[in-house]
Amino acid sequence: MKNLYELEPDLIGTIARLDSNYDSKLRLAEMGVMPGVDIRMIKKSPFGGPVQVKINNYYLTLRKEDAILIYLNN
Amino acid sequence: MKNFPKVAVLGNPNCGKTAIFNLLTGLNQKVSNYPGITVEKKNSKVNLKRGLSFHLEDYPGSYSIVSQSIDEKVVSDSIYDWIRQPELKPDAIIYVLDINNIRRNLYFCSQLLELQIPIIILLNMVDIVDTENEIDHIKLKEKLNVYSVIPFSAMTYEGLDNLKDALDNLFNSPDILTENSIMPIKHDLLQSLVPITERVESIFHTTNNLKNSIALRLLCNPHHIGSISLNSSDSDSLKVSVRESIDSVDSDLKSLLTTLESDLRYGWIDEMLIKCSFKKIKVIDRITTSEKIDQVLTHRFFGPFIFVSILYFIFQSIFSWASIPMDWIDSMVSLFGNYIHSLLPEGLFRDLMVDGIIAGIGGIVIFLPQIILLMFFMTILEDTGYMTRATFMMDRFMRSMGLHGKSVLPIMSGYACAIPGIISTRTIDSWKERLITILILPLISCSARLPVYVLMIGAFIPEIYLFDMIGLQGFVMVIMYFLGTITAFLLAKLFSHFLSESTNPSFIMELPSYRLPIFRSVIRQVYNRGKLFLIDAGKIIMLISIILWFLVSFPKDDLGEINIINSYAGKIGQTIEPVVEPLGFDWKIGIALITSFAAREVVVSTLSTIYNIDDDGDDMVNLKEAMLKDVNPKTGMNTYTPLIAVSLMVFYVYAAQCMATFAIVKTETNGWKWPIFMMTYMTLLAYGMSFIIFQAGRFFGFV
Repeated sequence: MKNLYELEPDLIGTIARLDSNYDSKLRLAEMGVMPGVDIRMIKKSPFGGPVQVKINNYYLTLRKEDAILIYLNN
Repeated sequence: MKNFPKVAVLGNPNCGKTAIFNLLTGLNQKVSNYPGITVEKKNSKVNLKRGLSFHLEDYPGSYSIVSQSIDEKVVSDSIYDWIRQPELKPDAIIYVLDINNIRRNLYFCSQLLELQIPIIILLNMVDIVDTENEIDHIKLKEKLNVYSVIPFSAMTYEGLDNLKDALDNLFNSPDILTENSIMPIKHDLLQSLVPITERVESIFHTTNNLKNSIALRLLCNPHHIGSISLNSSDSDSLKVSVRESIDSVDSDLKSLLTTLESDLRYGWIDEMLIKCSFKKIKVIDRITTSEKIDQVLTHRFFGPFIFVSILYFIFQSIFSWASIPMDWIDSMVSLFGNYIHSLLPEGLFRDLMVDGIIAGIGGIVIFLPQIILLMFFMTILEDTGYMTRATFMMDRFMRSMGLHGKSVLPIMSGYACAIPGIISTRTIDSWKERLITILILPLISCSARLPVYVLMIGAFIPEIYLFDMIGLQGFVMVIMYFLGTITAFLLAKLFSHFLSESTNPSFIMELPSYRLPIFRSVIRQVYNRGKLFLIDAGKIIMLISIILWFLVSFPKDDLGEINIINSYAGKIGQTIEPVVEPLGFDWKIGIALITSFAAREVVVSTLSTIYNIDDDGDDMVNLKEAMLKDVNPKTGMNTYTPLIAVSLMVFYVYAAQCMATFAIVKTETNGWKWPIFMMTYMTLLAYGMSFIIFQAGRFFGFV
């Protein structure tokens, strides 16, 4: 399954699920990052730094460690 | 209603709460923390018309009652206190909501509705609402059944009168019935919650629907028990009940438990929104203005370059622009001192006033222009939303140095003062990175070091130009700042290797859309910071100045004269002299090093007091000239040389000389261990570096 970090900039994906052992799952869900929601990759900062995404009409930054635990529908 | 009601301002981060707080409160508010980020609740008294006044409390922004960082815990702790002790409940909540992001903003709101406290919802930023985010606010009020829903703008003041009227009405209606709509919980789920619900009821004495929602929260997230302040027997029994409930849940539901509360809430919120003619159009593919700005400001290559340029501009302006008002203040203080001198009869009181108090206070007021400028720029960066972008861009680099993207703001604040910097590390939710940021922060040259640099450079570094273009004085100043900053980063890297504290690799942060700063709010924050600085630092300086004046003025000899070397302070200074001699310092600097422990900037007023007392003339002496003229009676040579000046500056770059910082580190790290560690490493570093500089300098023939 493809993860969020693999989503290319300017493309939109739909969240399939969040990794079950992911500690920040609850916080992301509270912020509306949950299965079925569309998410757009805006940019990835160089050298494996954080990514910027858009979801629910707001912008969010996540580290690579977070983005690889968010899986998208193929 | 009570005659002095209490109102809490709550909302998500970045929804504009602080601007609204500043809009409602007057300039004479009591602020208990530093602007920039609200990390503690702030209190202020607000006067409404007809002499009605109330208490307004501004809380840190939160996404949920389930706290994830220390600043959010302030909010969740207060909420649980309200539940347990209803007499602590505020009489109303002003819930601030960013209208362009209504769905997510309603999440925390939906949790608050259950408290059944009258709520006024402000649909903030209505002046910049996108057409697709428009909502029927009358229907929203009806559906949520809250006290009031007001379209609002802290920028244009739209809705301000409505808000005041709503509060006025609320405080004047004696028995209003609050029946906020709440998210219903299905019967089977309620059944599984029963063990927890019963326990919650006995602990919190809450009988309404609130106990169900608390129980649901604990079922979804058993760790949440740890963040509610409970005694150990309550917390243990609650854990047992949660375990029992989890076991009773269907096995296919178990894997979804963590996000169950959020799923249910968002389901309910969407239901409400549809009823309020909210068009749920997918807007995430539209490139907004904010995003276009980001294409430049957070560009892979230009972004960091722009960030460094902004920093350069800020520091440049602090040094060049601030020097003008600083000169005014300097001459005004000395005019005032001379005026008081001419006014008062000769005697002890005049000496105390002029040489002790006025000289001391003058030494502190002089920093005000720099503090104000730095705070002004920081507030602008914060309020426009740029600071979060700096965090985003710097995270990769900061992590490689053992720090965190969110260390950027504390470090930048550190150039003004370590204390607000240390407090703002509370937003870093990884303990190890937070601790390292706190430990290295005092190495960042704060504005209190500046007068030391200015004095020493002005007096001892020649005004010459390297390669005909770079002024040596300015260059030395830059070197001092670099020295502190680079050492801070190197030590952060070193500490991160040796500290085994817990770390959190996850980092989630909202990047708010860019917006214009609200001038009134910016001015308010800068004003408060300046006031706080003057009062807090002023108190210490005043006290030290009086004590010091006494120590340098007594004991008098038979003729009633004082030779400073025989004074109490002189004796103390001479006692330490052997210790600091290898660094090139004499007994006068020895005294200054001790008084500096109250606050670094005291060094200037200390030396100034010493020379003023020593001077027989009537005018206030110019410290720079006095130091240049000072001759060591033993050697017949100048007491201070450029090498000693450099050694002293390097000592000030590294030395831990600020009691207030020490105290704050103790509070923020909950113990003596880390402040003592910090003092030790800084003192060793300061002594070692100064020793090397002075001894090596002498070896190579510098004086």
